[in-house]
Amino acid sequence: MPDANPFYEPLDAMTLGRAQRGEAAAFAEIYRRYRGACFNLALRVLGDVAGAEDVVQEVFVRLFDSIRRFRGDAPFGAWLRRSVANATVDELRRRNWLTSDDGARSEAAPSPGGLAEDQVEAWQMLMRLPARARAVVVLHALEGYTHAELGSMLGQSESYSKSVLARALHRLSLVVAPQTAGEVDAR
Amino acid sequence: MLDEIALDRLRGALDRLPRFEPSDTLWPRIVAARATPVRRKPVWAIAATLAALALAGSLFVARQQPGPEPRLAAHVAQARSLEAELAAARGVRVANPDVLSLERELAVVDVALQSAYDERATPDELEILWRARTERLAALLVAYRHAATLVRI
Repeated sequence: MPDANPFYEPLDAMTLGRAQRGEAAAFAEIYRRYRGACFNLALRVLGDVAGAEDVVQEVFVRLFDSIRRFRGDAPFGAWLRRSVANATVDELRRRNWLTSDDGARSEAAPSPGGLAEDQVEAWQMLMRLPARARAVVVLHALEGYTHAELGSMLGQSESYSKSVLARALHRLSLVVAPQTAGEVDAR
Repeated sequence: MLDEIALDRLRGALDRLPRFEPSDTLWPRIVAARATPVRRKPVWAIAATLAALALAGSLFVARQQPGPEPRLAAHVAQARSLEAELAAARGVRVANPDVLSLERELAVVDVALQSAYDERATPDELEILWRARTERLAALLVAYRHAATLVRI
């Protein structure tokens, strides 16, 4: 059974305020709390550890400045998640993986040791998809982004995002053809 | 309909995805990348900021009409309180599909809320989303506590 999405972990006003005043210890605390959430989002889309760490680094380096603009109204985790999602999609764009079916990975999880069999299977299933399909699958199915938001993020339309998802579902054989009358009767 | 079924299957599979940690060297890399000279604001920029703050202050004082902001603030405060309670409740691992479903609904509301702030939504629009968020948080809290009770039994 999975844990709750770690982006939901609330950030207390005191830590936020200290970070906004530039206290290094507060940034370290924010990193400690959210590094896993940020890293896993990027890793699941990009499929490689080095790329995911680069994204996290870019987001947190920018955070030193951008956190002063965070007003504390929307949840901090949602705000941070938006930054990670945008940086990850930017990385896909840099790799030219948004306009092609490139970026499929066939290797197993980055550190397969200690993983349960179903975890390895889930990881391998995701990595069978091209990178842009992984982006749509992860951001829509796991992180809650709508197709309209994803279309905008990818520089495409809402229907483009839906189409990428539909193809991914077919590719993973998760779509079952409707039963014919004969098949139903045969039961 | 078929796509929804397929999407549910996909979510079921993705729920089993492992979680990894970045390497221990990442934070030192971030700190090192940050350790570049910080450009100081010129004096005129500081003066302009102070003038803008003074103007904003006078506008704030002049604005005495009650609006939707107090209701919005109440929802935000309630959500903050529920978040703190929920953080403690989430410490217990539970196997309950209701919890997962509510977590997903909360994710959707959170994304919508962030978009609303990005697009400078009105307080009325924000209030609707904060109310939705508070309701999901409250429902999640109940679901976690109920599931935790079942686990103990």
